[in-house]
Amino acid sequence: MKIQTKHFGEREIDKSRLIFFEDGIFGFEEYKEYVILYDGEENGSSFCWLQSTEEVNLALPMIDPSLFFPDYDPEVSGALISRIGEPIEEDLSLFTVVVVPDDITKMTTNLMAPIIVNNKTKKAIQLIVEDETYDIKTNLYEQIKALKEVGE
Amino acid sequence: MLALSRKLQETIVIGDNIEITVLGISKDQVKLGISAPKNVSIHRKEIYLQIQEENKAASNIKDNIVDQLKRL
Repeated sequence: MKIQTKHFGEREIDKSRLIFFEDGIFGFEEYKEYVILYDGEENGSSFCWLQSTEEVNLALPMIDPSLFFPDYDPEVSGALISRIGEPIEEDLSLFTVVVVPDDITKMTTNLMAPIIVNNKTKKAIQLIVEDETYDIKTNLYEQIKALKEVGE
Repeated sequence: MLALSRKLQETIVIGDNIEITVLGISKDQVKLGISAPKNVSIHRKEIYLQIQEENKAASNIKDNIVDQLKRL
């Protein structure tokens, strides 16, 4: 199917990539259906995008936090995770939303409210972690720089 | 908004399965105990609002910044 995207123009995606947030995401509760997009460039960006299929202008950058915060191990409510299907670890993907201001060195990611996708049921949820020790605004730029330097 | 007066250790019931009990009262703070089904999420409102704002800020990223991200 063809979808319009905010940052990548028209994209052809397979229907099996659609994911559904029964309750929407915080601040955009009315939009339920999304697709996760990766930019197709060769070097592979560190970011992916949560693109709404219902509102083209709704697209949030995300990361896989395990790449940048290897110690990130949030406590999440089993009952909430069960709302998107049987909680089998290998079926679940975890992402965190990234806010990038004009000065990209000040970019942050929200480790307090990760997005969890059940790849088997195609259902997803954004939830607030139980241990409120994780920061809504965790600096990400330094982590990316550090990782790039190791890679180079 | 419904306003109810409750004393220490008194409870209000919301629906069939949510209970809120006043556990403690000090000068300008009350301590509430909340009993609800596990699939009901309960959070301080200010955190909830902050996360809403954070998602909105994330979606307001500018096009020229998106280009910078692609190279990062």
